Amino acid sequence: MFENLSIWKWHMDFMGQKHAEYLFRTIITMCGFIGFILGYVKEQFSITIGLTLIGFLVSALLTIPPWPIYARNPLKWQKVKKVKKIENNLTYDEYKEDKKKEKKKTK
Amino acid sequence: MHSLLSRGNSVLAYTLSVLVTLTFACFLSTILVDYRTGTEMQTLKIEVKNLPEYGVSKKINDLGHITFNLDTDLTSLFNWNVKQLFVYMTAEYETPTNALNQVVLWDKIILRGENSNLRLKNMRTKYYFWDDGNGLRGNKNVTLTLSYNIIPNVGRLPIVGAIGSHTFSFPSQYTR
Repeated sequence: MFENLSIWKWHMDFMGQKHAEYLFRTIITMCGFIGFILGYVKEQFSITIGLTLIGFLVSALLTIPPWPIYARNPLKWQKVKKVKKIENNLTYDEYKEDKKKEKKKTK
Repeated sequence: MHSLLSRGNSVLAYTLSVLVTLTFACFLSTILVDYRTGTEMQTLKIEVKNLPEYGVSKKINDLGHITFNLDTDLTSLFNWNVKQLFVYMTAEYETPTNALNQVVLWDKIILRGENSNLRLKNMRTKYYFWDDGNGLRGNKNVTLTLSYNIIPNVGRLPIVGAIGSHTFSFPSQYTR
């Protein structure tokens, strides 16, 4: 029901989650590493911080929204088993009330 | 990682971990730096007056009055883990009542990117050179030293003394 209402599928499949995590970790680590070297050479620590934050923005854009790339391996669920239809589909309380009514009628 | 919020949380938390690691690495990269540099100082005018110091009491104390030259290049101190320097000049001397007197006479804040090659000529002191008695007149051994407090991006706040000092003596007569 909700799948029809929402434009986005908010969830990634398991392979998508794995790829997304690998991607953001690689991007942020590489940005931090390059930033550290650049900052050390240029004697400016704000370069290091800035480049790491740019890496954060890029990886956030790439991995936080559920892009369709991360939904390529949907889970294969088992098919629903056929169960015999139960005729009087009552809860226990309803069942008890029915019994009481029957007793009153017999009285 | 299954929902939008948990992915946002993971990315942000990992970024912060990386930032903390890098900052710590920056601290480690400057932990062994020797911050001492050379300095040269001269005193030009040296006078000593005998005046009541109303700020504390009506007691008549010695007030030194000196002008000085300061010649030091602090540019080499600014590595990537130094934000600003607080440079200050101290006068140290001994009196019969105190084994060690220290008076800060002048200071300066040097921000990163500002001119840190100090070539100061005929400077007046920024603060009063009060003694807490009459120990300045005829004092033969007053030493000027330069120290600086290094304010880093991350790490310790070391107070470093510059190499080099200047010793002078006060005249034995009060100036009126």
